[in-house]
Amino acid sequence: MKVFPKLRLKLKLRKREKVILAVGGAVALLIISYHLFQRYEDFNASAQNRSEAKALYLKKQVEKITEKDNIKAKLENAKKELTELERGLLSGDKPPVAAAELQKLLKEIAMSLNVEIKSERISTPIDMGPYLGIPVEIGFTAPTAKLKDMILRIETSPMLLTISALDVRVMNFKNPAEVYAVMTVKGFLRKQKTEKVGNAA
Amino acid sequence: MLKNRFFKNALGIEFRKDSLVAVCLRKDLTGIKLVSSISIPSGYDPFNEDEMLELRRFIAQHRIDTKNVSVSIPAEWSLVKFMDIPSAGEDAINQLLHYELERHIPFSLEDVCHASHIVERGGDRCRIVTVVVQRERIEQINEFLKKLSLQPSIITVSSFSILNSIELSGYTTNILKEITGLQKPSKIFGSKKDVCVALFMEQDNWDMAVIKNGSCIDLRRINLDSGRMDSAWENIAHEMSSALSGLSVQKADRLVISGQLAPEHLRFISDKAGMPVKIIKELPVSVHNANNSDADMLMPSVGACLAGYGLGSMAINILPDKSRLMNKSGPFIAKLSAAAILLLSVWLAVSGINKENRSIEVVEKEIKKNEPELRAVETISSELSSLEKQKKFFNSVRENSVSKLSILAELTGIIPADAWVTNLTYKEAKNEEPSKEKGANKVSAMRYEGEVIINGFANSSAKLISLLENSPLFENVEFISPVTKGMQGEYSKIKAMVVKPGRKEADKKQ
Repeated sequence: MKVFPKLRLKLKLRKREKVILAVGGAVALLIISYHLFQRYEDFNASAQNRSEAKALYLKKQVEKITEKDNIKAKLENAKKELTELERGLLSGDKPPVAAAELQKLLKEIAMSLNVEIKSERISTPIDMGPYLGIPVEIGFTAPTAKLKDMILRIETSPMLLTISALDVRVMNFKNPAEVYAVMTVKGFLRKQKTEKVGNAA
Repeated sequence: MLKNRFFKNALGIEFRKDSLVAVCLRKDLTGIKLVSSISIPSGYDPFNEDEMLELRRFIAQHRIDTKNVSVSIPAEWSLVKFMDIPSAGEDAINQLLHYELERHIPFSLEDVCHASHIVERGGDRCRIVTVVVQRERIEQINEFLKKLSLQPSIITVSSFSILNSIELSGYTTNILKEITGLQKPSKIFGSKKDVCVALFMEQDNWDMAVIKNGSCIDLRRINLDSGRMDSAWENIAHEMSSALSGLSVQKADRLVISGQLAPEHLRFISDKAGMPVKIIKELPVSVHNANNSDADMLMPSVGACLAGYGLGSMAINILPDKSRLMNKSGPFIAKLSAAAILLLSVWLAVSGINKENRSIEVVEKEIKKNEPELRAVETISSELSSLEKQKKFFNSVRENSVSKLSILAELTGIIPADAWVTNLTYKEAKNEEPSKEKGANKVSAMRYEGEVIINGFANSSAKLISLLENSPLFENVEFISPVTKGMQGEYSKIKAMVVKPGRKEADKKQ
């Protein structure tokens, strides 16, 4: 025969104590709930931000992928244009070969103008990013008109040539018909991938 | 569980001395309703198969749930005993109670069914109510119900059933209240500290119960047979004072009356009582189709049925295997509901985060899927940018370089006729990649093409400076050696920076 349905906790508290306990418990519960809610909100907000950031990234990714055909077309155009432009480069795999080609070209121009090149010097190649500058220095005596023609031919050459230095001296002050000119002409060469070049001159 | 608790018709049966009363209650979303009742008149033999037909029809008609059956038996069939015993440990109380029962009942304990309940605890003593019924009676009831294919969940005594009905008067419940457990306790018997005397009619007799702290602590039968109300009241007052003094209570706080009393008698009692009097006239359930005129007669069966639902605190179940069948699922449902609400809240909170995480997962999957294609696009883009850089180099060489012929032409144009150039030097500015330049050198590399040094004679060298400075091609014109005077005029050495095409004009526009 069982009279007790369950064990009872024998805790004797006064009414005031019970009220204080209940109020304290409720306040504690409220504080805990508030903090839990705050944490939940923060977590939710961070998840939302992450989700938005990812969605934005995906959008940009898709936009980039959509541009693929356009970029490909641009690349093809750029390749064609560059091929055209690179026709003005010196041929030859190595800088000395290119320098020799440039020397030959300058001699041809000089010969066509009946100008005799008196000095020639090949300088150190200059690193210019994807290309190398191949400077060749020539010295010659000529009337100013032929100097003008020489410069004009060099600058309008189908090859990409620039005059990086020019020193013009009057041979005779009293009769300044001829000048002595030292000219540094720079041609360009595509840099080979394994090419190692010293500092720019 | 919920399905068992709701939408099933429960049966309450009261075995009276000479008849049987049955009620059908239905619990639905809005509360508990009395659907129907039946009274099988005197001369009825409950164990006669033929005479059970009417009850069988009632059960079939109302589709009674065979396991929701509550039984109320007459007080005469039972022995109700209140005992004050020392408040000791559980085992000690059980042993003491065993001993006391053997001492007080005229039967062997094996021949009876009994139920005990602690009704009051105070200091070192506790008060226990014990209800004892002959086992033979219970077996007869079980046999009778078995023939009707019914299984009782509670068998209680009519006095307690009526008290249960009284307690639950004005009590309302619905599925929401039951699920959330927010049901207010009944206040019919006053607050916890109040002592209430309940006067109620059990069949043809009047019983008096003393209720304290929601428990019946004394129950006795009183004689109100006297035709005169004053002598009847004397009996009531005498029994009341006797019961209260026995319980060491000075005065009752309220009186609750339920039963057939003439209005003038009720007024008389109200005047004499000297305490608030509450009259209970109606059943504790709403009446659906049944006749409510016999409220007093239906009180025990309804009270038992409500006890079967787990409602009320006055139910004592004397069914031998009560723990199995007693329907006390109310608190369980409340706990289950609270747990469900908590789980639902947690689920709602988690599902929000989960949704975000799932959407992130989907996006991440998509990003991962796109990555090879994106890498290909990036490779093409970087190749394009490299080609653009190369193209830019060509443009810078061709378009940004000043023609040396134009320098010579400019000098020929601006140098006056009285001036002679003996030596001209042009030197290109260092034309490395702009990004490698730093500070002033960088600015210089971006702005100037090169420098020109002119040696020669002139009548006024200073004039040459201003002439050169005014040219769109030259800037920062200065003497780099002292001016000397000779036969042909002033000899000077002048340096000028050659500005890249368009730079000077652009500066002027700004």
